[in-house]
Amino acid sequence: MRSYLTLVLLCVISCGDPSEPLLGTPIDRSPFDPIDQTAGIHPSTSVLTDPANLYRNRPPTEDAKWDVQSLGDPKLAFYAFASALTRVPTGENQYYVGINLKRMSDLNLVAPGKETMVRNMAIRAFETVIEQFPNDLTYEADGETSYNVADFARDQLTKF
Amino acid sequence: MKNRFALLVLFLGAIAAQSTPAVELKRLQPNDANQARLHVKPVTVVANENGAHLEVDGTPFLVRGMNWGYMPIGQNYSYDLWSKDEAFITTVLHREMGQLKALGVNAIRLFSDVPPKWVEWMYDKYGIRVALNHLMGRYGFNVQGVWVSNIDYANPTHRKAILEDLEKNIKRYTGTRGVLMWLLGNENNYGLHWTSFEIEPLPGEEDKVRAKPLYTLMEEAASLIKRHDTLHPISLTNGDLQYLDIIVKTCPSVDIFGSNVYRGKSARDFYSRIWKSFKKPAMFTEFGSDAFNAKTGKEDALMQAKMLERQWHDIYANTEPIGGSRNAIGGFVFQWSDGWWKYKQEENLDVHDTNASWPNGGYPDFVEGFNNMNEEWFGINAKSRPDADGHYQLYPRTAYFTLQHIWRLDPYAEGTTIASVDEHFNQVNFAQFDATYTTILNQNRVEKIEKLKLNTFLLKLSSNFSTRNPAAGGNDQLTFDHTESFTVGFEARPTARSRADLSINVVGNVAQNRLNPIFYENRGEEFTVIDVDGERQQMTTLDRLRVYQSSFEIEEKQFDLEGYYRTGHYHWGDEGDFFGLYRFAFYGENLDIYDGNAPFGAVFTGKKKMKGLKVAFGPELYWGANPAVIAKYRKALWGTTLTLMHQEDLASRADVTTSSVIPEPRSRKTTVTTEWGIGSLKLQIGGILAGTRRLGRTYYETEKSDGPGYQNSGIDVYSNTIQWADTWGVRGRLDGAIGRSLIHLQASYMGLVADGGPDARETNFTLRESGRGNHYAFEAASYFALGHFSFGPKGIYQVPLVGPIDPVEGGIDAANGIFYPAVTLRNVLDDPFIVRENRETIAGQFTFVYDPTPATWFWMWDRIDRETSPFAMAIRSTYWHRPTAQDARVAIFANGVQGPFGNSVPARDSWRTELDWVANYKGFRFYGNGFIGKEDAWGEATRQVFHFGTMAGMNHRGTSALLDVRFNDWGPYDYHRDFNLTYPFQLRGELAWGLKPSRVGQNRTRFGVRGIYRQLDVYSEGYSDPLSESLGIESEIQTFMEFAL
Repeated sequence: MRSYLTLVLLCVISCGDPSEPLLGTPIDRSPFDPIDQTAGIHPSTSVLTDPANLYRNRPPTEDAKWDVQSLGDPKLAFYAFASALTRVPTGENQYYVGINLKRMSDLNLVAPGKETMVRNMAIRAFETVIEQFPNDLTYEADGETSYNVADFARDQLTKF
Repeated sequence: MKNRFALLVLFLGAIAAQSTPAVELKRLQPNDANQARLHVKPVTVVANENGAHLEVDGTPFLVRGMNWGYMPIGQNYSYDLWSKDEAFITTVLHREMGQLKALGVNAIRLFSDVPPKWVEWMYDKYGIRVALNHLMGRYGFNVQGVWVSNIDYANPTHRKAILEDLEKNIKRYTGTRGVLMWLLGNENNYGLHWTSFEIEPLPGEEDKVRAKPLYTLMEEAASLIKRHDTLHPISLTNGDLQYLDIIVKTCPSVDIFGSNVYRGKSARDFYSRIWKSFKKPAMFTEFGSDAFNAKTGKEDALMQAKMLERQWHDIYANTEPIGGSRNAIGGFVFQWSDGWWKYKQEENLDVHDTNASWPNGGYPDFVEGFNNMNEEWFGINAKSRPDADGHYQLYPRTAYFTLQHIWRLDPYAEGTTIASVDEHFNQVNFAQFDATYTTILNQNRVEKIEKLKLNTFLLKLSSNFSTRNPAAGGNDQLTFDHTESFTVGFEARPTARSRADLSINVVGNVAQNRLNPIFYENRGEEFTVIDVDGERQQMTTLDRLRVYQSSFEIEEKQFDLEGYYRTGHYHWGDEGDFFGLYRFAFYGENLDIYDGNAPFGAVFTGKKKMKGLKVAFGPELYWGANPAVIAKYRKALWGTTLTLMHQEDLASRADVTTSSVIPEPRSRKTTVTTEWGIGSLKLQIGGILAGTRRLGRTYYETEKSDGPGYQNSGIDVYSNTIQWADTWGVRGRLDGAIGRSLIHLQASYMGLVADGGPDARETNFTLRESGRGNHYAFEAASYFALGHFSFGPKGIYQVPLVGPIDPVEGGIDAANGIFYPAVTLRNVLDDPFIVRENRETIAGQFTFVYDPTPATWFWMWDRIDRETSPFAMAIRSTYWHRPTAQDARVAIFANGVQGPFGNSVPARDSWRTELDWVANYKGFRFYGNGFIGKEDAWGEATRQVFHFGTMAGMNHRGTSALLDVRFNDWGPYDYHRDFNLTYPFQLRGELAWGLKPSRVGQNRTRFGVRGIYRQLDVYSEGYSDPLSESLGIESEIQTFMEFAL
């Protein structure tokens, strides 16, 4: 009897669900509705708890985030850079978080009632670049030419 | 004397007044008087016209008495020895009574709260009798449930309460062996004048009106005792001779005039006045001298001894057979050991106060107008601070040895005369006794010093001259800088069974030009920031003072507790930790180089009823560990040894110092292991349940596709989640000796997230399966010994349950609004499991050792010092066949951020052969190693490295030399191998001379020079001329001075 029960137990704990083929995920085109006002602002990691964030389980690779940025979807690009920022806190990631927030704010791609919040988040993102990453550089595609990203952030702050 | 017992009595009196003895031994009842006489030897006062003496069972008895008490430093009157457990009391009494007996003491004075059981114990075991002292309301009394601080001896209610309590006491001790006599009060006559418990100058006889009822009460008390106890005499405990005239008239039932007397060297008319008016024997209930000279402000044990010698001469000279008043019967020396609590009684209890609290012109340190009696220094023994159990050591003063000499003479022995007494006293060798005490004192001082000692002193000063050619990113300019580092450490031993140490490092200037820029002191390096105005500013951190290392150990009866911070500890692999949860934590110089703060935690080890239980807890139990608790319980059960372990990570670690110790996700692990001995073999079988926190987490699998695959990559990608089936693992191991060989067999199955730790046991082989989950594996090894040779092979076969990811790029189908996530290599930060050390491997290792002195096991980490044979060596060769790839390693990138590599090294084989050797020749010790191999980087590089090198060193007395040459090898840091940064040629050398011979792992005072020379090519860090074929060259000469204890 004991052996039988042991066998049953082993079967139960050994049997798992089979793997499923990986399919694409539909992109959420709804207006941007941030999970909170710190999302995407270093050192907050709340963006990883946002169900709308397709990168919440795995930040994009270095190449993937630039691909997304070039697609012209600021919401998707925000999530890409904000998720990357939680893993790799650089001025560059923080700067592009600000760029995409500002773009959504400027193009009014924001959920009703969240306009001011997103605008303030963009300002806070650029301020964070200056405060937290004053010496960080951003590179051109050649990988050689670099700029101080805080200088760019200061410039962006003049545009609000 | 005075009020020294005041508050003690307040406390004890309240208890004694209302309690019955806790321990009732088989004792006689009061009405069994005849039977009592059979057991209790009568003590009688024998007096006639010529004088008086005391007899015990018919034999003259000189009271060689001691005011004894047990009071550890730091305690005060509220301390009660008799409330302690029996084992403690027994230990105390054995030690203290033994020393009293060795001194020659035959009686001690105790208050009548001592349980009769212990009175008999002291008498039966050491022959020491007790004078039972009832205080007669001296320091207040509980009258009808109300505490009365100042007793009115004329008040019938007060008198009745005291006498009723006395009667209870008398009945309590009836039939008790070892009682010498009854003592009544304690300087109650002084209490008529003093109104507080503070120590004051001795009063005169100003209160004759109030004195009379005091002494009529004493008489009533004496009569009461005589009604119940005819076997023991009764003595007053008066303050000097005050109110003698009243006593003579009112106290006929008192047998002995006992008194606390502090008259200096001589009692003068003490005996004669008593004999003349009272015709009773005279006895000091207290007398003596303090051992502190108020004039010099120093301890003066010799003064105390000389005072006691004269006082005892006075006693001897007045005993009945010798002469004088012929009524001296001895006395109780005040006192056995110093009372550190006496001055102020509530404050500074652990300070040996040197404030004199009252004046006495009879002592040699008296100066008119100043106090000279130091209450805390009356002991004929000094004492140590107590250990953790409350026991302390006694240090006999000069007076101890003096009394020991004096008491060898029995004045009642036949033929003893005043001349022989004088001769005996003249033989007191004060010089020798004082020297003995001085020696004891010095030993005590040494012990005190050892309680807190400097255990680390390391001053490191170094100067760096370095240069780099343009190809190495420099300008051929010689640069100079220097480094100052100072480490100082202390060890404290508060008690015999506790210890703690702490060392602190201070950094001064830090060289900015070292070729190897990562080192412990580099936290003080300058760095550049750009301020808000865009200006570049050079700054240094304030992080120049650090706790370098610390540890503590506490040993208790029920458990041991040890703590550590940057102090290494061993694993529990040999005590049932079959899955390596509690890891080996000695990191050598790497801990300093990468500025690690591990291990940091504490271990509780149970004993007695908790034997087998171990609990480790702390912020970083081993380098890279999450804050965790690891508990282990091990017990022999049903013919096997069972070990149960659990690890609970309490949080996730955020900081990281180097890629070798990247923290893994927060986890929870439980293991159970059984062990059987089968002859000389040991069989272990265990199970692990781990990674349950990762249940439900998604992971991807990839495989070659028959169709277009995911994103037309030709690879199918599947998604799954962690399930219970992935959380468990099992392992079996059989190892031990068969004949002349050692064997090892092991098989494991570990679920996807059933992560354990590595097997850290020291063996002849370094090849071993990963403790990580997601694999099954088999190991087999054997090892043979033939004469001075030993050798053997080991093989391992290991396959992951789910293989590594074949990466596929993600994408976005903008037209249809579909997001295709990239399928990247798994890594420990993002994925529930990975394939790295557990990758598919078939590997073999062969070890060959030549060691003529196998007792000095060649694989010991400090073999350089231990190996004693003229020559010993070991060769170890390993080949790894790795047919599949692996997932990504996490590295620390140039900006200090940790993250995974995008790729890993490809599937391919590698090999490595190593040589270690040690030779001894005429006081010279040579040692070295060598390696050659074709191996991979840890990161993503595709270039496989063929590298080799050798190191040789020499130690001779204080001189040491070392030369290390490497070809095409990685640089010195983890990131060099992560990023596959190699140097065509590296040379490192050192020559030093020290005051002591070099020892592995030990600092020493030494001076020397060391140097680094290396060539750079396109694969080297800092190479700046990729278009040129010229080699970069960088070099460094460092002179150093190190001063160490």
